[in-house]
Amino acid sequence: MQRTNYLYRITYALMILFFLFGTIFYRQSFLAILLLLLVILPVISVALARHAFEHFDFLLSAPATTVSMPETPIIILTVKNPTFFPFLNCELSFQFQNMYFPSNLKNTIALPMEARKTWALRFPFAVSQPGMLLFSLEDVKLTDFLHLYTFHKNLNKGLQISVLPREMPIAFVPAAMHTESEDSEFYDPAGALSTDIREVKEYIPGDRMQDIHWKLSARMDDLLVKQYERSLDDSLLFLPELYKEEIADTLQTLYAVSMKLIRQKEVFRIAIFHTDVMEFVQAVIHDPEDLMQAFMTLYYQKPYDAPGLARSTYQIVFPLYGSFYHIHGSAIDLTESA
Amino acid sequence: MKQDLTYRSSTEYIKLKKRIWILFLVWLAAVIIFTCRYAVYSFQWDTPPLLALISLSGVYLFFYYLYQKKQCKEAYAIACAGKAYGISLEDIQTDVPVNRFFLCLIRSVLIFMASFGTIAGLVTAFDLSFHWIGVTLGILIVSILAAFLYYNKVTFYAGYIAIFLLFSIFAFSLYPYIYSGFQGFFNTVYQKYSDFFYLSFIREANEIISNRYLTVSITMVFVGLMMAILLNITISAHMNLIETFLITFLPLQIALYIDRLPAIPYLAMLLAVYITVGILGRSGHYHMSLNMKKEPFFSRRLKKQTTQYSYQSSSRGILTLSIYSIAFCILFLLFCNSLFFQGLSSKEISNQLKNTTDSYVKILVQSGAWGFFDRYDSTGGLNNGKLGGARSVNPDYQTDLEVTYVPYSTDTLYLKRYVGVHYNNNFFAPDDDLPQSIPMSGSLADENFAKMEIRIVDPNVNMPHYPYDTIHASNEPVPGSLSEYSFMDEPETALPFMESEAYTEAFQLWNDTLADYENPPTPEDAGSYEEYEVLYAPYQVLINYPSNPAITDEYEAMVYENYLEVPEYLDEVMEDFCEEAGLNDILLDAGNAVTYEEQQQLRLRIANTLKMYFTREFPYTMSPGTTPRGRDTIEYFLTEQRRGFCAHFASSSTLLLRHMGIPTRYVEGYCIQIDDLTEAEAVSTDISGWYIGDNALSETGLVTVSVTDGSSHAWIEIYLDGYGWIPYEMTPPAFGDTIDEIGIMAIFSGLFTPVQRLAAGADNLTEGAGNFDFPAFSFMSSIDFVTKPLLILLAAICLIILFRILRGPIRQQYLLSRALRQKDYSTAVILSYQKFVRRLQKKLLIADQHPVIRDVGTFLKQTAADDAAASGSGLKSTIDSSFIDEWLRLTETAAYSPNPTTQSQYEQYRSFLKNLKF
Repeated sequence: MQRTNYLYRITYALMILFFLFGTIFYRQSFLAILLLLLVILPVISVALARHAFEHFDFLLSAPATTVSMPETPIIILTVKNPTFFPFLNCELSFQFQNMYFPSNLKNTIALPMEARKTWALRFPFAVSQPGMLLFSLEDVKLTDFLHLYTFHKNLNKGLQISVLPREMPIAFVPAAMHTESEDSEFYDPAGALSTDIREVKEYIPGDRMQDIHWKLSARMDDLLVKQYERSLDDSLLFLPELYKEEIADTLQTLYAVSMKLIRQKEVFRIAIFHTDVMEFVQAVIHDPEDLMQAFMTLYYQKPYDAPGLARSTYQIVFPLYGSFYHIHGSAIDLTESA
Repeated sequence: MKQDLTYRSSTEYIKLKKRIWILFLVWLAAVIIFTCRYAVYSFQWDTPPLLALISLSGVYLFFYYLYQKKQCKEAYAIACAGKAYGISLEDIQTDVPVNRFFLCLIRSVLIFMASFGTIAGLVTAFDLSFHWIGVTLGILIVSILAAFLYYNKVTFYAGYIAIFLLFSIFAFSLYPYIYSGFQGFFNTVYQKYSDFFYLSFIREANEIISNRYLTVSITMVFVGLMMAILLNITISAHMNLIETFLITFLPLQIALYIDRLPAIPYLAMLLAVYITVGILGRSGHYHMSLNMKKEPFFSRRLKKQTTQYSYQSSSRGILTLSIYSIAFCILFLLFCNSLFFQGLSSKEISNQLKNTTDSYVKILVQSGAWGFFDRYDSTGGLNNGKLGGARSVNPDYQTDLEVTYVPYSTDTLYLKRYVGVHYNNNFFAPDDDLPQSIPMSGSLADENFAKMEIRIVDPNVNMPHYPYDTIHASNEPVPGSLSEYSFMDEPETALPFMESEAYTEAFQLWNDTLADYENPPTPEDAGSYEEYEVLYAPYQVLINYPSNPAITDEYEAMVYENYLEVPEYLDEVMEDFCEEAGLNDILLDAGNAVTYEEQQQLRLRIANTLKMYFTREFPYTMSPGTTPRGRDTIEYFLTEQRRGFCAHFASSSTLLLRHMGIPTRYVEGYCIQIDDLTEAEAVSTDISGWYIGDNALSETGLVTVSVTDGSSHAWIEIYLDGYGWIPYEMTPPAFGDTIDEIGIMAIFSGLFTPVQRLAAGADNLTEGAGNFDFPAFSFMSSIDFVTKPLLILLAAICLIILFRILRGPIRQQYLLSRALRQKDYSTAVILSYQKFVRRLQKKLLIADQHPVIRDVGTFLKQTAADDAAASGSGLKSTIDSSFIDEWLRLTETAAYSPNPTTQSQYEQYRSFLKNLKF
């Protein structure tokens, strides 16, 4: 029930009193009829509203579930009123947010529920940051003609759209592809370990401490060591730093580099550090489809609170796994594992 | 340098300020024009509405600015929120078309139904006929015109001008028809109201054109035009049920109050409008912004943490609802008509509230709105010695007394009921300690007496009434101009005075000798006067008395002690007026009037001179206005008001004559004139037991005369030594004080128009401006109690708006002056820079809301580089890149450098800015 209903009810009661007074004062039959009408109208109004409210239907859809900036993500809300009565006071509550920037802002939209009509609303969004757009339809309210009673129903419908960063030209040349490197200390990343685990074996002295699978060891009550599969020999590893202050630039850079490599038909890997499980997940990128999946995984990751968190963790966890490209903000740094 | 990152620097706000400035200047111009007009032409009939209009528009402008500012803030906040959360919702789009044509059309139908329903309903309720097709088409056209003003910006602004022109042409070209139709309608209304309340008197306004069918039809279209414009605001703009209801339903009260119900179709129209407007208004979705083509389908506003999107209006939804409402109302009324419309008649209803309301309605019908402001019941204009509290004499012509007697003379018969002795503070108080009559020396002869039976009808006059005859048989005035009106040199009564034999004939009766009652009522018997008989003496009874032997020395001493009393505070006024009226000259001329007869003659001559002066200089009017609070009625009447009715003349004369040394008293009562007998009811031709004696009328009989409050009157009694009190008529004859027009403005004219000026205006119309000695115009003193608060409000609004507008520049100038005073030239440079940037923003040359200094420099360089742009923007051709670099350097030095700016640098900077003038 909306608070404003009380105001309207009081107003309506005053109107009735006014006409009651007028009727008593004048003893005019016309005023008596108006009074009668004032008594009848609320019943009719509420009954019709209830009837219509039960038949309303709302449907969410999106022309594209993935868009690249600066494309506009669009969500379509289809509204249906199959009854003969138009209601001008239908209100929907909805919320939308970029999952990287949780928002507590709420939104309401007043809709005209025209009689026997199905119509669509297009919600175009202006995005300034890449991420996962989450749109949720929370509830619907319908107020009768006289604003005396409000019907309420939870909808709990939602839809997501992945917004990829804008593709920018980038002057990135993978170190592995350098043919004339003047840097004597250039570290060739070829042969670096992949993050794909081939097998888990018992620890034997000499194994790297970083390879111990602590979770499994704890569960099995024995020290177990992860045996990594040698990744693609020439594949590059990118470690995006999802620090919240520079996340947009990081994603932008990662996307730009990725698209460039994809066009060059390079296969590369993206390591994503999940803070909630404290694990790295690698995605091997062959094509845009893989990249999109990788970004979807990225979008579900909560931004890091501290800068360099992924890099330092990676260096601790994989000290011998060679070098990788650490992407933070607009910078791409070739970084040693240890 | 830190920029002001608020909504104030947003483009929307800058545009708003520009718009508000323009509107404010227009408003200010209107205020100036109005003030000049007021100063030149003083108070006119349209001054209050114009003042109210200007005040309201000022208030509206102020709140419009506040509202738009809030909108700017909200838009800014939403934009900021979008930036902060990485995503924002753009304008929501829909496939539902907004058909502006339909929206306007629906509104026009609603406006038509409301205005036509009201006007036609009201007219038909009073059984007036009109040209149905013409009126319907006329009101429909004006309704469509009014509603389609909102079609777009062009129609809105141009349309109002067109409608104003149409209105003006219509009003001026058909003025006689409109005027006549209006008067015709109100004549009918008064007629019906008079019938309803059994009022015998009907105000009849002049209809220039007698074809009421035609005039009423034209007037209906004219009123329809005005109503359509008003309803367009309440329906198209606000969709406000209360406003619409007030505009349409209140006029119908004129008919409903006296049981006159409009026809069902008109009621159905109004009902449908109420329901539709009520539903649409409550929905809040009826808006049709003038910029709807540019604006989104959904409006947006930020309320706390919630952004509310709301569609403006749905043409299809509104159309459907309107059709449903109309259909529902028609069906409902048709159904109910058969059940309920044989309703009660309110005439049969009697309750205290209704009776009270009826009395107020009667006042409204008779006196207009000012009747409510009378300090006591003004019906009849008399109120037992109270003076100055009634704006006008408004007799209801209801019977107060029924008097049964035998007429025996053509002279006026007075019924005295109140004697005022002591005057103070607008009240002539009686004195019960004084003897009310001169004792008779003997009983009346059996063959010379008259009997009168008085029945009190109106309980408000439940007092004893003493009948006696007039002695003053003045000639009736010759109709026409004042110059044609000739007065007798001396009143007839004075002539016989010089010859004692005839004198007694003329005086007919000493009123104080009539107190021989068969059942004499006394004040102690109050409440028991419903019906009583009184014996009184026709003049023949005393014809042989040269003087009244009953008058004793003691009695005369009492008379001279009490009836020469004049309040001290009025002495100066009395003296001045006696001088003005030439009364003192009479005394000087009659310095040798030493004989007894000459002294008595002198009294009458002074009274007559005074009356003639009143007749010349003090027009009689039934609506002189009330005496301002805190002032004395007689002083005000003699010095400023100088117009009035019988109570004013009688009361003033009493004091003036007392001042001249003549014992006088103030009397109220009724006068029965010979004309009243024409409507008298003949009771019997047998007059035995009712009258004995000679009769001046050839044939007579017993009659019952209904005495209404229209016959109530005030006069004076002058004491003549040895003979007692004689009644004397001081009220000049009334002429030209008729009601020429009745209408809305007539009803409400007194409400807004100060009484004094209204009176002056009427005088000017009657006698010519040159003849009236009206006090010199004084601007402040002319502001009356209604206008003054409005002017104060207007001045306050002006001050607030001026303060808000000037606050920024003044503050800026103050800071600059302070910086220069303190030799803080860095701050002075920054302040000059800020002013310069704001100017650029106002001219929309810089779109960025928060430009940094470098951006401004870049803009200037680009402008300077582009010759065309430079010439267009006003930059001097000598400005080049190095000049701007130097300007930039000075600005950035002032803003960022720890080294303070020197005076010479500041002056250099100022010279730069002069060259950078746009």
